[in-house]
Amino acid sequence: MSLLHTAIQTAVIQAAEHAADQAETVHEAVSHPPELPNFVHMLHEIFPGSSLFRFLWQIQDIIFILIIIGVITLFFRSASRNISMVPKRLQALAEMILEGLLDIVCGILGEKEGRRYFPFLGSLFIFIICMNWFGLIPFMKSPSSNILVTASLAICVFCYVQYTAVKRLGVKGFVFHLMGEPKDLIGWLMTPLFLPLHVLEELIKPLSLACRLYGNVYGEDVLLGVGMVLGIAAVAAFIPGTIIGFPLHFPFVLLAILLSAIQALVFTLLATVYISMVLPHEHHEEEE
Amino acid sequence: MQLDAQAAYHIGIGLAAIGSGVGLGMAVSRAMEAMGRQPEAAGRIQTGMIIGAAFIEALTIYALISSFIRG
Amino acid sequence: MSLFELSMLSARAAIAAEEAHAGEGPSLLPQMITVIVCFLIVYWILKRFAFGPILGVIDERAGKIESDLKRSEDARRQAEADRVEAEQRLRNIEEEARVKMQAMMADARELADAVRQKSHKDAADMLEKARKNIEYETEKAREVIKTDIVNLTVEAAEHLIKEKLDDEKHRQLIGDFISRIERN
Repeated sequence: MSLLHTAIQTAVIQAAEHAADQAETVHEAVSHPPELPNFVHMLHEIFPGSSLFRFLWQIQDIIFILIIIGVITLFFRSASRNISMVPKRLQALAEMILEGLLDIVCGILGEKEGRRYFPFLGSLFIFIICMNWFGLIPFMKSPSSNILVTASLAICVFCYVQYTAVKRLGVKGFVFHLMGEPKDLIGWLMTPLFLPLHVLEELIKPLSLACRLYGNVYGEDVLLGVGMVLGIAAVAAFIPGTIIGFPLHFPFVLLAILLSAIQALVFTLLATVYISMVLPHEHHEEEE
Repeated sequence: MQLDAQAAYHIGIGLAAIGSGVGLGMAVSRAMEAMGRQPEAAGRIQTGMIIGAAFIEALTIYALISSFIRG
Repeated sequence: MSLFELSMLSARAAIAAEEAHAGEGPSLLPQMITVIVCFLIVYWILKRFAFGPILGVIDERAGKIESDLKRSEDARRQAEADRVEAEQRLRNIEEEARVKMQAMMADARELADAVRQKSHKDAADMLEKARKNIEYETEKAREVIKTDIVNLTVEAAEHLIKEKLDDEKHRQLIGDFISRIERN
């Protein structure tokens, strides 16, 4: 049993090494990410000399974001073109998405505030979930597996939250909020300690948002890539030089669908919670 | 056998995963208990649970990212 | 080389590629600004195509359903009120009919009573008149008979006794006789 196990393990490892060697000889060593291949990268590999494709590859995330914008536009445009009281398929789907989102947002912010901040939060969710799921389409890549993209979104959230805070609390209220809203003498004495902590907290929030989304999506993509490499290696152990691999990454695709949605939801929920934190308190509790 | 820096990162990710796994388990089990006790508040509990789970799981992700960056 | 190491190696290769990629390409700031601009475009598009019309139609539908429910509730309440009113009216009509019928019956009874009383009175009058007639006739007849009897008796007595009697005395005798007969 153990002998057989070892033998299989050795075979797989050898195959994997073989595949890795092959990959390294075929491609340049650094230009082989274990992510699933996308068409921009493939174009770059097919035409290594072309500076255009090289440039496109360097800004691949933006290209995919543009494609995603096209898809979102197409979807919602056709969903809202023949809008009617009795919804058709696309309109019903869009309504379902938006109503579910609105319920979640309103559950945290309350009915009135929820509706007020829903456009920002809703577009955040739709944009992120599209980006996350885009990597699961063959020859496409998740733009959110690049920390630049997630950091940009986090900066958007940061700016929006600070803008909301200043707008809703006023400059004085905003500073008071940053001081931890001291109520008594001890609170005021602790202010020099709390003020930098709260400023730091505000700065850490977008950092954690960006890192969480990037880490999850990139981790998923690497997992899929590794699964695929292993799948190819497993087949290559028996048929050397195979071009078709065993779909070992398939279970992880199902996992990725779920996790992508959850991560998009988490990003949106956290943005919602950050907004709810800077809303005037008595107002917020009144609506709760 | 000597531990090199790379192995230390791997072990670190494993430790982080253990920690957040335990934390997630506790959080989710409590959330499920609460949902079982008050099914009518399931939506709110679930929202809170997802946010909490995101915070917990972020720690492992930070470890993973730091390993990516430094490894 | 283990499978885990292999996978980690691939991950490291990816990071290396990513780093190389980030280092070579356009610098970070323009890319981030582009992404932010893209997000703003998405925001604008969704606001234009999704949040405006679709949320609008959801709200409109919710409002319509609510107003329809309210209207049907109103209609139900109205129908209920109508029913109660109709019942009330029916009851009123029945009551009125009963009252009217009673009044009519009372009238009729009165009329009947009046008629009966009048007929009773008429009958009594007629009876009275008839009796008076009869009495009068009887009296008359009796007078006639009395005179006849007196005359007859006088004649008969004249014939019988052939005796010339004092007429005055005769009459007195016979009158006494007849009175005696009458008394008997």
